[in-house]
Amino acid sequence: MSKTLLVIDDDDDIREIAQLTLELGASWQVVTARSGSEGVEIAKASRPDAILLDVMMPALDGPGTLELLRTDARTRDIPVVFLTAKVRPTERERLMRLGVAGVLAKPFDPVALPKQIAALLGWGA
Amino acid sequence: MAEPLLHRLTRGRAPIDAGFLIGALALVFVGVLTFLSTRRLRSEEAWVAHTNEVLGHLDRIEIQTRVLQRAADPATVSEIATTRDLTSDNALQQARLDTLRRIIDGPFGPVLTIVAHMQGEERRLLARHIARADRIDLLTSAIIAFSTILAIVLMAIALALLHKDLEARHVVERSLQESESQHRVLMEQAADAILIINADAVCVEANARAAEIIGRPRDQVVGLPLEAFVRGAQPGSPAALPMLQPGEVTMAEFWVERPDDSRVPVEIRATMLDDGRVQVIARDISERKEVDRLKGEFVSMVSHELRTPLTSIRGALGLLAGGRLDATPEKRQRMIDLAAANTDRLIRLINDILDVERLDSNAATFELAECGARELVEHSVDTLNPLAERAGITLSWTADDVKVWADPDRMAQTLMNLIDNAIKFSPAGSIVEVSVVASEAVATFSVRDQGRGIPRDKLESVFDRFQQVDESDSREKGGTGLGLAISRGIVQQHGGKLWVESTLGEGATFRFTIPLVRPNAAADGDSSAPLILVCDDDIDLLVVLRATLEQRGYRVVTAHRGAEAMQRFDAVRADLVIIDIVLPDVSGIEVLRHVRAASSATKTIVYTAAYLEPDERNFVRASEAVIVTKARMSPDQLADRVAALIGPARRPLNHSVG
Repeated sequence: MSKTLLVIDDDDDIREIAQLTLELGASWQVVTARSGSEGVEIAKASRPDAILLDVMMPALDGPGTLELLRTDARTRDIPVVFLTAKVRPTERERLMRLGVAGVLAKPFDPVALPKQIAALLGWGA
Repeated sequence: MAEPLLHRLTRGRAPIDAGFLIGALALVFVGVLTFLSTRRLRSEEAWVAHTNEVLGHLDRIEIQTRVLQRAADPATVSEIATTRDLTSDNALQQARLDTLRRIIDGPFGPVLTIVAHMQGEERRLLARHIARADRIDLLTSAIIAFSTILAIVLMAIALALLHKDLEARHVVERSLQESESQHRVLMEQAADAILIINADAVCVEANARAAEIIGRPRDQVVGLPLEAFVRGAQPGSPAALPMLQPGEVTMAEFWVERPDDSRVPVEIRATMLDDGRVQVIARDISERKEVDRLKGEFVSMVSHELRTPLTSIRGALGLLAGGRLDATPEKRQRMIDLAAANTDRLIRLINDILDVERLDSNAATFELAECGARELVEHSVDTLNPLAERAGITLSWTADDVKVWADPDRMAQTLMNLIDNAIKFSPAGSIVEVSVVASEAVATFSVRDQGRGIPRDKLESVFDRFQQVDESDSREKGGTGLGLAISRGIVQQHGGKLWVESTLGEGATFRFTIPLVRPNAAADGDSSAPLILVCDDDIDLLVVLRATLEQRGYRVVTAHRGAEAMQRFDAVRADLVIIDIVLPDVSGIEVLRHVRAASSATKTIVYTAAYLEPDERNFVRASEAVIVTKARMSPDQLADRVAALIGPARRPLNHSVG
């Protein structure tokens, strides 16, 4: 059965490219959300297998969104991978300590991205 | 300081000590001499008394012998016996007494002869003792007189030296007091906190600034253990205080925790004093930390903002290169469009970042010229009309026919940025109004929209870098988040102000002022009146100076930038130039140099609040300019100074020219 991935990113173009990349590269079903709060609602409703979450977003940022996901029983156990433009090691460590499956850097290589996500989540890509 | 003072205190003591020692020795010597002389005198006086006694007995022997006409009388014999006892130390007299005893029963004539000899001997002895006693008496008197004089002289010398020493001590004490007082003033007025810490790490002295930083009254700071307010990098963590050796200076950073739970970062320089206490000079580095934080934040924001379009470009190109879209031409085209659009976004962003940095560091260049305000507005509106039409928005404009002194491209950039923003944030069907209204010294440009407005608490922060009214704005509206920061920088570099007025839900009006170009004063008014060129970047001050000088009858031209001032000077050759030193483009010194090179007759006044570096001050003096400090001279007093330099105008004017 095909996996479903939720992509949460406030940038329209990145969202579109990520969706295309993951649909074509891994044949996963991809749903998208343009903000943290929209992502939380979609996650509660559609229960995706994993979430690719942008870190720097206005209003509700990545860590804030993660906190909301962890407080709800329906979304608590969904694995999350951060996608971030903040690439300093200290920042990466800080994000990892939040208990996510992994942290991936922007810009990403669309050919490698599905494999990287699959490796982090233990999925066969 | 301590060593020289100690030296000064102890030096000059040796002569005084030596003086007292010599004086004391001299007095002892004189005392011994006096004692010995007195003893000798007494001895001589005893001898005189003894000889007189012997003479008394001899006289009685003579008298009794003469009266009785014989010597063998018991009383006479008794006198002879007494005389024998008294002259036992004189062999000659003893021999005569022996003879006397032998002839005492004989005729009394020979007896009297011997008594006469004995009397003669005793008188000779008496005379000798009296003479000796007189000499000793004289010597003793001389010694006493000499010792008295010596004592007086020594005492006078000692007193003089003592006086001199006291005087020197007084000078040193006064100097110490002055030094102490200066030290106190320095300590009290120091911009940094100064604390003295004893060996138990307890604060024993603190200046006012220290109390301010620590957030407690000074009497509470003194006596406070260091651990009560000094912390390491983490809140509540104990500070690892540096271990010091005497004379060693150590620098470190700590946090001061205040009673209100706020924290102040401080940089300290600790020095161990000779007495084992530690002097700590602490500087509040909150501002530096904040600048570092903002810098870090800006770099982080720039990094994020650059990576966002790069992610799209990299992703789109990666998908194209991977050949996965070959079968779907419309998706291929979509990715090409996305890559192109994000490339444009990246270029805009880089240009804006560079612009912000250039404006911040005053490195931006401006091609200043006289620009028509109407033309600027018309050009900007025409350029953005297609965008407005696509958004269903009407652009309308009105403008006074005035000229501003500005860089036309930068003015258009600013105006278009504001109009572009207004279009983005206006609902379809609404109107964006652009206007220019001229007042006395400035043209005020306004861009008014009918959008959602800006909350009161964001009226200022919208001008910060990467700040938006609503955080989703930049994504939705395609802005870089730097447009308003750049616009404000441009306007400020022109000597103007940019601000926004808004009521939430009722749209917003962005306004900015740019200095007006006034008609050339040289062609106006009383052409015989002296002409003054005033250059200052403070437009309000420029208006006041112009009014004050025109009131006195002078013709006035103004400039608010150095380049403008030089251009205007070349055009009008003013009789007097009043110039500020700190100008937005070139230094007032440059303008002064230009004026001096062009004309030696023009008088110059440097009217500034800035501190002049020594070489600047020397140049100003060498060019015979008068330096006037703004804070010390009002515009009216400045006008008096002008009159003193170039003479009064013939008649005061009541209207504005130039």
